[in-house]
Amino acid sequence: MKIAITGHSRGIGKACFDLFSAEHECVGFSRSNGFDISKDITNIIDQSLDCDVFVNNAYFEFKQVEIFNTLFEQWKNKLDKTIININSRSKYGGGKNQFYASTKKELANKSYNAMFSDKSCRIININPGYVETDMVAQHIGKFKMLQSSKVAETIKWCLDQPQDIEIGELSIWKTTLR
Amino acid sequence: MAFSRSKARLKIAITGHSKGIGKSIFDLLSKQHDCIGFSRSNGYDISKNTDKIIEKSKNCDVFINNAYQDLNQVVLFDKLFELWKDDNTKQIINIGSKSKYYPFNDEQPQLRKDKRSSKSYNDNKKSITHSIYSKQMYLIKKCKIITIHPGYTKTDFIKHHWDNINMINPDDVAEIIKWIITLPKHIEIGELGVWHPTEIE
Repeated sequence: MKIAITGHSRGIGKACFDLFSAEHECVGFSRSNGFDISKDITNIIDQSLDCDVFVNNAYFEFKQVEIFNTLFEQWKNKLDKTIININSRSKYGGGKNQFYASTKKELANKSYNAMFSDKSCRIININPGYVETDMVAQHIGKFKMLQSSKVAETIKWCLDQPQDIEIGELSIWKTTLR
Repeated sequence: MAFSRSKARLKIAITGHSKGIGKSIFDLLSKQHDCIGFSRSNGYDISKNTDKIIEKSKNCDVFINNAYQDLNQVVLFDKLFELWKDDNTKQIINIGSKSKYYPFNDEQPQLRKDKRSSKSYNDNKKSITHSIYSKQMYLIKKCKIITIHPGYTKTDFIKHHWDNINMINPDDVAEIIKWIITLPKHIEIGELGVWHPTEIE
């Protein structure tokens, strides 16, 4: 398969890129290689259209929502395409960063609407809890965290399901957070 | 690095084990684990015998809260959670429904004819989910809590729809549960939704 991954140079994105590259052709889009989702979504979407899977991982405010909406319009009638949104446990509420949580809730809402529309592509939403990445490094010591490689393994499991099975949502975190 | 999988033989309790998803789970997991089933067919009705079911299940490692009858899944979950919340060897698996995502819409023709079409079913599945969230997200607990939301599944419960809706098989759900229960202790799949990608064509 050909797999596009945003934010492939760090954290969960890097873990996915490293894991999937062993079996598939992966294309990464990160600021480190000139792709910034805050500035240029069109270019990323255009370069991903011939992929089979798009991992919507990089976070910047509501840009994940914009990427999902744009790509879904292109792929909704294609049976062999899969969009994977990397959402967050914060979509359930309870976190301190309300803005971050609201962007993730919006991503969940948009993908639920898409799931119940007339569509053919697969949509998979992954909601990880705290993961050992630079983004949450300031919390280390306070919460128990997952390794990003475990999240990547789980995403691979979802992706490896037969095409007639859609893992629409999967939430994963440490059994005891504190 | 792949997950390290537990190969331990587990003791597993399953409600509603005689039909549908519960039967598939029971049949699949019985090959590797010790399973106990509770259904009306063997004298256990979740609307009447929750205490008896809990008493017989409390020494199990995994409880699969599958049988549906109004809000009795919540009653079973709440009682078992009180017993198991501080035990990191226990797992409670709740079988919810994709309908928890639905804003109820009785204009949707595919939802009219069966129990899933009823507002009470949707509301009950939402209540179950919210009751679980309240404990899973905000309380300090050690046991695992997993909620599976299957979409339309080929069971007798909705067999009058078999010809016009694309469904997953109960065995697909059972395979997913088999994968989940053997994950390492420190990893919780809190919620998982599974369905056919194009349920309605």
